[in-house]
Amino acid sequence: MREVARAAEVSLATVSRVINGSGEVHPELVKRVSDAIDLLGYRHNATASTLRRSDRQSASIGLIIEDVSNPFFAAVHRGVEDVARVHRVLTFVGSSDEDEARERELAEAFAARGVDGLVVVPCAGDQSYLLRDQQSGIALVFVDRPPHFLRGDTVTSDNRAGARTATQQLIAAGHRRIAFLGDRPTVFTATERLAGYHDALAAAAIQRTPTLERLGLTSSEPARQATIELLSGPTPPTALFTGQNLITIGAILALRELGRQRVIALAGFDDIVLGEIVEPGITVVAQDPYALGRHAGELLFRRLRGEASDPTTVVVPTRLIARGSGEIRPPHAQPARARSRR
Amino acid sequence: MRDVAAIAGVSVSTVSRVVNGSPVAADLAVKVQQAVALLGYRHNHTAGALRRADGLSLTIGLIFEDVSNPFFSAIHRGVEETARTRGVVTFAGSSDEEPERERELIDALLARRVDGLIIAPTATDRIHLRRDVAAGLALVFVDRPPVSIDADCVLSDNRGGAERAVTHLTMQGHRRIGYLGDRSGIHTASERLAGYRAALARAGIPEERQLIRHPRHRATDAYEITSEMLRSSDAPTALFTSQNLITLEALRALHHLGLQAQVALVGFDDVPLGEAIEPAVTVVAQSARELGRQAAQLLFSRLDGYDGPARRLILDTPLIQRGSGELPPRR
Repeated sequence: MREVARAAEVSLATVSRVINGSGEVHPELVKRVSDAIDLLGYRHNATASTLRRSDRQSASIGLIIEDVSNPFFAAVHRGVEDVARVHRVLTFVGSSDEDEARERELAEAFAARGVDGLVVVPCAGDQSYLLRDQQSGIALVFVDRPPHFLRGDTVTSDNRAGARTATQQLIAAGHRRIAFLGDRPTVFTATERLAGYHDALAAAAIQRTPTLERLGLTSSEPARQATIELLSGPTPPTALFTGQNLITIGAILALRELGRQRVIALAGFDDIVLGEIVEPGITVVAQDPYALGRHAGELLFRRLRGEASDPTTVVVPTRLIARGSGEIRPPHAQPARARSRR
Repeated sequence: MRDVAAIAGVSVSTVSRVVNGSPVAADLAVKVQQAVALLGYRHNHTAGALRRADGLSLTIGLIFEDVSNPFFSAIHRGVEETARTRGVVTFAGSSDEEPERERELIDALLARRVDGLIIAPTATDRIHLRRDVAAGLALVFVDRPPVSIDADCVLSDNRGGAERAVTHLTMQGHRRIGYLGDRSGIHTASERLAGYRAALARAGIPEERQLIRHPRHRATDAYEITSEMLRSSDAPTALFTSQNLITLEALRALHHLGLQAQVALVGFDDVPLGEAIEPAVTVVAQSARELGRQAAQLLFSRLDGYDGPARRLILDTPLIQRGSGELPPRR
């Protein structure tokens, strides 16, 4: 609103009176204000002003996640909802399916319905299209990944350190041929986790093996196939680091299919349901998606209350849970044990 | 809109038709879309709605028990997939099985002028929406039927599925079958309990009250109750767990006691990785995503003008045998 006032060379109160249709305003000033509004593409946001009213009847925010039915994002959703609920704000939710055009469609659909703020899991690509919304007063917070070509508050897990920890757990068990199975290289979390895997290899002076790095796995089925391919090759890995919950599930299914779940070590990023009951139990670096959602919601409402400081980044730590699969030793490292079992 | 028209070299009414999705010659539509992209023009639905003949806001609301429960998040996905094809976006909220919270959500959604609501109602719903429905609100219930209003609904075959699950256990020779179910009063829970009872009756097995348990908070109590039941002197030889989160807790208890290969289990609703544990979990599966798709289709048919009596769709709940439900009774 301040920008409109500046462009129209009138006071803030005049802009407010014109927009709300309250009080007497000189017709010439009305014209100046409406011209400035057209010029700036300012969209009066009825719900933003009601946020400050006692009834708060139409307050809403939008949440764009990759897939509402992925348990990780469903927990992020719940975290955001629980913060919004306290403010009596409703949440629009949509799945981008990691498609830039779809993300933009959702952002526009939500903005057109007057949301006060957006929480976005940004796709690979370009978020600068949100600049206009940001300037028109829509609060923006990014979660799980930072935005591209735009600045904004961001909440992520400690992806790189977590991936390093998971890989180190496999190295500590004696593995040197460790495969990495990850999401698309355009996805921030996938490349961060790949970097963390590389960090751990470098720290243990293990040469990288490009054929052991499989990226572009978007769901369980391609991950299952990639695992089978890796293990059927001439020089298979002795351990797997899987970079995301659905990939871990695909790897577990493949190992069981091959009957090798007690031979090939596995550490995953993201905890999975039943991870402690599968045999062996699945060693994971757990994220806290509910906390990611809560932090994002809190940052958003801080902005909506008028916080004007520079964008901040909140990094949520991850936690190693050793359950057995990541502690399996490579075959050559335990010949004595193998004999004594017979 | 005038700027768009000027740049595209078409009339304002053509722009309006394109923006509102009415039929327009293809080359004109392309011109308008290019102008829209150039100007970053955004159609304002709230403002537009006032002028649209149908008065729609292209917004619907979903109310589930918990948006992060995998069952409900799969329903959500199904609704979204259908809504997306119509340019409709969805609000989603969790009632946490509290009628008060449910009312708040409904009021808040109506205040935002949603075109329709898809609700998995709480046990004691007092949903007073007759006037809103008469005024054109589309209303569909999913997972559980409405109690206080006659409206379209999409349900799983809860009673039939539960009866199939428990009959499957009695056919293996089990006669002491524990029931772990959701709070009574929830429609799905009472239907599944009825199915359990019908299966026992059919096999001529008398009901034992101590084998029928309702965890108060399924995430925390189900584990304790299962452990307690299995440790007692007259423990059941099989379990029927009637909800996904309860199944997960019962599985944890069985595995921690090392009884997973001795005590049979059939769950209602599939669980992730259910095929990867030992023994793999036998379930009666629901298609949550399909529940969501069908609910959205019923909703949109109302918005498209269907004005007939309330419809009730019941989706199949097939038994998937994987191992845990085929264990014989322990001697």
